[in-house]
Amino acid sequence: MILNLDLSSEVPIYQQIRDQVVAAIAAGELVAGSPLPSTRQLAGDLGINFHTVGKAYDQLRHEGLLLINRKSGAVVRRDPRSGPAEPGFAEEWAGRMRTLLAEAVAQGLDAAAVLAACGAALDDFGTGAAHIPSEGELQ
Amino acid sequence: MNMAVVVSGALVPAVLLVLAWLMPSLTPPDLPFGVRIPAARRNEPAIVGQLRPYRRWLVGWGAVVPVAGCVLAGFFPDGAGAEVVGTVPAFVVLAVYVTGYTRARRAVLAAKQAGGWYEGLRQGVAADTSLRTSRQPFPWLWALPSVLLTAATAAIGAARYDDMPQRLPMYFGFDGTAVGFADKSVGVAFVPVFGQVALTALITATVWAVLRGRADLDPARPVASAAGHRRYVARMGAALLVLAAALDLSMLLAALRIWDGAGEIPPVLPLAPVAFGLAVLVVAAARTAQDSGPAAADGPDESTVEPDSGLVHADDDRHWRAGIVYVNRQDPALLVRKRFGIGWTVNAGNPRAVLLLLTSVALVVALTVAWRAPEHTTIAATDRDVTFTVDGTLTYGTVHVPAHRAGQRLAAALLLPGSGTTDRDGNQPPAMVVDTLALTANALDADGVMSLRFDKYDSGRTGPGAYRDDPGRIDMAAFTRQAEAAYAVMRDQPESDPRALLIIGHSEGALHALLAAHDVSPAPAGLALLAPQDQRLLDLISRQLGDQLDQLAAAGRVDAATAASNKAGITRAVADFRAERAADTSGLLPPFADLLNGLFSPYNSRFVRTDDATDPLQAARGIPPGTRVEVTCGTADSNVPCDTLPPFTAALRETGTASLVERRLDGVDHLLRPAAAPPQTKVLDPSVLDALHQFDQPWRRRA
Repeated sequence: MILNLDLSSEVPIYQQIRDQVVAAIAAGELVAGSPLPSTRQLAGDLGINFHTVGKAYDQLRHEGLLLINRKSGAVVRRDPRSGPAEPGFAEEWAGRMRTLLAEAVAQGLDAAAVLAACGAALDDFGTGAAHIPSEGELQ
Repeated sequence: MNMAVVVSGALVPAVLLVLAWLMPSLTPPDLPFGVRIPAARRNEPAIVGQLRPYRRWLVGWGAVVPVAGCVLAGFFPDGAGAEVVGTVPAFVVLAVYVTGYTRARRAVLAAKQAGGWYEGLRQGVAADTSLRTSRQPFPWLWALPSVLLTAATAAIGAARYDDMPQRLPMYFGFDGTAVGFADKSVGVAFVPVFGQVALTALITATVWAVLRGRADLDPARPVASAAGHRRYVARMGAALLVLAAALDLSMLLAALRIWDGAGEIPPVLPLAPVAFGLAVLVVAAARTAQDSGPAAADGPDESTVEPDSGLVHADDDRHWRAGIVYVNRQDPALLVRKRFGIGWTVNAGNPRAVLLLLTSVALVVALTVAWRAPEHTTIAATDRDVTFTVDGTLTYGTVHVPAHRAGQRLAAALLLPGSGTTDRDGNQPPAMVVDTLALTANALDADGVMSLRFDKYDSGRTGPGAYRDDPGRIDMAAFTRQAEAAYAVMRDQPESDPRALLIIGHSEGALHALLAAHDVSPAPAGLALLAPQDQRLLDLISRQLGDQLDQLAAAGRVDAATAASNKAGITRAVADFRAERAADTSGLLPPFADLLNGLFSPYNSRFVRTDDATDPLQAARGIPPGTRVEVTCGTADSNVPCDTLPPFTAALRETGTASLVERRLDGVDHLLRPAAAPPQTKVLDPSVLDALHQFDQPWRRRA
């Protein structure tokens, strides 16, 4: 996978790494068992401090997406085909999504446009699981 | 003109200039003169405009420096100082290069700052994790040639080990001449193979490191630049392994010369493969620069155009001092690709990288120091037995090497004895044991001049050789050929300096010296002709016998009429012999008749006839011009009296000798001894020693 970091962004670098790895798993670019470079190697390649990479990897491990093993290094732990999420994840995620949607609504984005953007994003991941609900299904 | 100085004074600077001229084309287009710029600014006039002045600056100097290098080479025909002076043009070219580069770089930097090229741009960094998780495989196939060459060298060395000379050239001067030798052993003979193994291992390790090196991806098009990086490491890996094979080939060629005991390795032999390997490397680097150029983005490989990430490569100029030295404490990388140049440079901000660099430098320095010829080791004087075959006759001789420094080249003199069955020491045992030549060798030893003397036909260990069954067949030319073969053996001794080869001939040996000087290569630098045979043989003998008759008459032991008739009879017999008529000696006094009969006997006649046919004056005129010559005569020498010499020295002078010294040695007899010395005493007159020291003065060496 390609990691492309914006050094002038407000988003912290560890966050950018974490986000891009999650996106790569969603897009199927990384699947369960895919290896990732060690924190030192990746830090070297990006020319950044290896603690920054460590922080990103740590978060991914915490989220159950990465398995960090002293022997085999960092390995992707799950992908869309690995079955249902851990219990509790859906609720926690729904909370964050609610905040994200609230931002959109508060800024006056049109509900249909928001839904279309969600659909496009899911399409981008090419999961095939994306099912864009019709207007009628929405309450 | 010194070839080595031409190479280092003109060829190396010329190659450096060409590389400098090419360098802007060998570096990525977003790093003009080592300055990071946004890709969109590639064609800014401030950048494009720097290229012509930079190249014009190089071409201007390029016309001057190699010419100056050649002139310099003319001023240093050889030897001392050439090594140091020879490197000056290369350093001048480096200074020219750095100056031109710095000027262009400053201009680009100024334009970049004035234009605020990075303002409003989002700077990024990119990495492709697959470059780490599925690495480019090591190009083992490309490593095969160097491994095979190394194995072949080892196999050839093993097969030839027994036939190698006892002393192998191990240290070589600037111009490829051997300056030091080592006694044969497995450790010495296989040094080229060890070198190959070490170099192949070093380059393989470098390729291994290149494959693991950091990919500096362009965040604007990371996928394309990641693919480009893969091609880059594959290409550079292959090119480096080709270079390894080229270096191994160089060492194989050098090894073949070393194992022959050759006195020199022509520099072109090892340089040609190295030049080829380096050219391959430059071409590979140039291809990479094209690869990352604007054309590559829409080349056939990257048919899918990447979506714009909106990022540009981060401006990392602050980590590059002068665009050449990389210092970044935050960067864990040891090696990074050079910005302006071919290859990689260390991260001077990384203590481990600095340690690596210092270790390599220390290793190179240590090896260089360890590999210097042990110049201050004195090698003791030694007598070495040599044999050589000439016309099917195994000839035995002695090479005397004075005490000298290891690697020192010495002047070498071939010592040729007088007539008769005189052996290498100048003796005809048991009748005459006076050591004329052994003592001459000693005198030369004192001046650091080595010598070769040998048992000529019919003497010493050599004996009659191929003429055993037909001794009457031997002629004058056979002895000259034997002397010339000995000269070649002397020339090929590891210690002998081919520019200081001398021949010292005594009596008839002096005539052979003149004849050999005409034929041998390289021509002798000097000839010492001690009591030389300066007349045709039978003229000389007639005169000697005439002198004896005069002495007998003066002493009243024969009457004047007998003396006159004997003289006339001798003249007549000689004329008859020369005309190939039967020579009548019946009317002569018995000792004279016996002597002439002996000379004219079937056993001797062929040699006497061919010797007599050789005119010493003509032989003297045949020596190469520019030879230093010394001629001596002894006032107590009845065989070659001083007063017969002037026509001979006049003939020598006609050749345009570099110098012609005539020494008249008071009270010295034909065997170079004081006239009063009792027979069988081994001594040279002090004036003879003095004449020898005067002769070898230009070629003296101190241990």
